[in-house]
Amino acid sequence: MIQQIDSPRTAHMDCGTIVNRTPVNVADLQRGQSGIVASLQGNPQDVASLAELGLRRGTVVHVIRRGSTSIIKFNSQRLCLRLGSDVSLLVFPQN
Amino acid sequence: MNKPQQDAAISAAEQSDPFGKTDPNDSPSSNLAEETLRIALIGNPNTGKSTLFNRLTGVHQHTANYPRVTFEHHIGYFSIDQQKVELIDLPGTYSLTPRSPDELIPFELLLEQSQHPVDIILCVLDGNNLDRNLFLVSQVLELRRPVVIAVNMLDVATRHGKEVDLDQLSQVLGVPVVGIQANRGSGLDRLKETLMRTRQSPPTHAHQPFPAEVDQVLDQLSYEVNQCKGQPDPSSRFLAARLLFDADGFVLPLFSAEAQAQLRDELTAARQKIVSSDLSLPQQESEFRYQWIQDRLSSFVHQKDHSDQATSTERLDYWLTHPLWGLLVALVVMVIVFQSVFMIAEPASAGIEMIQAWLGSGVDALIPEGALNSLINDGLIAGVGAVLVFLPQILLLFFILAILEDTGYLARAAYLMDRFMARIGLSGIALFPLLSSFACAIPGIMSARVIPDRRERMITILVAPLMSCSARLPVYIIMIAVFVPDYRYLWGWLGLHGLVMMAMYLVGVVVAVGVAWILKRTLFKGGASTFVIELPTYKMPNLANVVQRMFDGGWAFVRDAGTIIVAVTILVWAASYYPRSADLPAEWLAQQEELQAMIDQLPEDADEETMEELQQQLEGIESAYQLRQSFLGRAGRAIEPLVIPLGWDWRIGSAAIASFPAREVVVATMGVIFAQGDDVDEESPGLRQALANATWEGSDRKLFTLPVALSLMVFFALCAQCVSTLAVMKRETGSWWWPVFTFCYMTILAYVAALVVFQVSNPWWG
Repeated sequence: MIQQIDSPRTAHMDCGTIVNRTPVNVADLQRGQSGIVASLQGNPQDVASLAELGLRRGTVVHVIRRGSTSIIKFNSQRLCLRLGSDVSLLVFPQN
Repeated sequence: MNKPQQDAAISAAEQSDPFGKTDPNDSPSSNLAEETLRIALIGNPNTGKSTLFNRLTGVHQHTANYPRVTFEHHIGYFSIDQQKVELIDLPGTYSLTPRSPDELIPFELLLEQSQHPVDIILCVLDGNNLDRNLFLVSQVLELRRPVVIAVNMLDVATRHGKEVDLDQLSQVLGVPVVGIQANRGSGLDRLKETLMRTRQSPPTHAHQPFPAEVDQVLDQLSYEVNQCKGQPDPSSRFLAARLLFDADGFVLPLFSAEAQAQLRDELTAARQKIVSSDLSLPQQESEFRYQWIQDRLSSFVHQKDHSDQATSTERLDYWLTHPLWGLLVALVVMVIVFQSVFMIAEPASAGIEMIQAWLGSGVDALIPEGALNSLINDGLIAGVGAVLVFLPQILLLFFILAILEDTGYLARAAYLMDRFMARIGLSGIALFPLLSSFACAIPGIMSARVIPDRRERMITILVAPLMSCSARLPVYIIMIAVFVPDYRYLWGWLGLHGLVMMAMYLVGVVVAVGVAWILKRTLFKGGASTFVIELPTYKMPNLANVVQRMFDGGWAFVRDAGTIIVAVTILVWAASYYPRSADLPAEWLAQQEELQAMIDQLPEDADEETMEELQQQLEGIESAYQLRQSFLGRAGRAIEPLVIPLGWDWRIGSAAIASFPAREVVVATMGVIFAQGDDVDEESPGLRQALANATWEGSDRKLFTLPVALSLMVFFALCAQCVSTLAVMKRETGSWWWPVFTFCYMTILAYVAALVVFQVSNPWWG
């Protein structure tokens, strides 16, 4: 079952210029680039676990190391992240 | 009771005596002092929770287990003035949402209102990462139990330019907040005073992180929960929230069947209301809680320094997570881990074997040769020795892994290895247990605890025994030395012996990759799972934590696996000892006489080594006969038809059966079977000669050939001949099913592979 975060609460989206209004997969961001989470979809258990870590719509994510297994930084924490085949994290790229 | 009446009852209960423990006629202070204060310690991983636990309890702690799950936690004791305190260290968690049977344990423990409920919940937070840490606190506050917050790592927050207003945080949360520095032990006196003051004080105000429409739904659900329980429960709001957002269905079964039936319809209706308001479950819980946190964060966290200067962790990470340099460092670390466990632990293990031999000679001096002597020497001492001989390796591996984890490096190594491991359905962190298994599968399997995903942890545990461990080396060494030609290549730098040895290691690795791939698509089906691991700030390892984890690992092995290992060793001893024959048959007596004549004819200045060897062979003749007609020997002869296609006879079959407790026993067993005595090893020239000269019974045809040697090595490379490994597997998986499954699949795999190797190679090299 696909679950999508779709909350009207985006008050924390104040993070610089959004370069592109078309969301891209977080794996497509370059090293050092950041993006604003547009949606987190997929396996409900994985999505819920990631959301509990603070990864939700409007969160600014900085890419430290890119790739299928990446290192991202958001909200004062650094995570090693490899998304499952049934999970997608889309972001609006920033400058 | 209607809802307003319920609320009034809960409020009165919280203010006076929330748990109904005290008798109003007793003096409060004396009554409280008599009872142990139970405190649950909870927090995110990497917040310094274990450091605080060890600081408070010291050596006064033990590990508690729960049946049918692998969950375990530490319980420690300390005193505050005259009050005895029991501190329960729950595993680090980001949320109280249970997503597995293991995660239900802390959930139930916090709710427990039996004879010994938890009195206070002590939450440890990372001062540099309050927003994520407060998610858990937000859930804990709904329990309406006494809570104390300990904000740790404030020095890290300061380095990041943050200032945390603890008083303001306390006002926002409605519970006491204390700043501590667990690694230095500062703030602990204030923490203890606060705990004593808080023992009967729930939060000063209700915690309401949800919008009005969700609040209404939760109010109604709380009412239903209280109706089901038959009395007001201060934690009803917490239970209601867990029920509402519990998409995995772990919480509802905690209620009685009758209550479930009552709640099910109410729950469906409640979820419908939320869904109809354009909100989806269960991610909305995170959304609402984080919004509540974000709305208030700036009131107690002040960012003083907005500069973007890289921290020391970030600077180190540039190199340690670099695709090239980071990988090199990780490989060096792995080589060090592997070599340390293999080489440094070996002298310690050798020491234990020496103690075994010393004890054995003591028994020989006190008890004459016979069943009792053999039981003590070959059963008990060998059995206990078989347990203790692994202890140095286990302790050392856990010591090293604890250091790597405590410093924060293990997470980085997991990141670097992940892209390789992901191809076979595992994650980067699985590499350490698998690598350790090259030394010994026992600590390797135990260290699989670091893998957070259950499916991946199980696959790692099930393939770890395929890594060629040090116990297989005696078989490889003797077979290669005697039966593989010593050809040399590349101007003598490369030898066939070394290549065959390497091939034996690769056999295990290649088969493990295949088995992992199959398991991922069958028993542990599922797409590539999400792998998330926090990269904590680098810090110096805390010695108390490291030593604690080292002893935890060692004790768990001795306590749980040790008993099984000793029991099986004694059983195999009995099978190899009984039944016994009082007299040797004529042909065996003739062999003894022939050998005795040879010894008698030796000149007086004969080599002592030669003399000892012949003496050993003389004693070995009776041992070989007794083994032949023991239960073990008979079993070997019974399975002979099965092992002939592998090129083996009953003697090799018996050795394989006898090696079930421990693989390395196969060499000593072959020594007995081929009349060299049991005091031989893979270097013994007598044993090597005996194997080279051995023939099939009743013929001159050589028993051991290159194809037979290859099939024996391949069998031992893939078989599960190690009761210690299976015992540890049972302990780590919480079930006998997995060790039985592993024994079966590895035995079948080993048999088929040995069969193929022999049948293919025999026409060429037989």
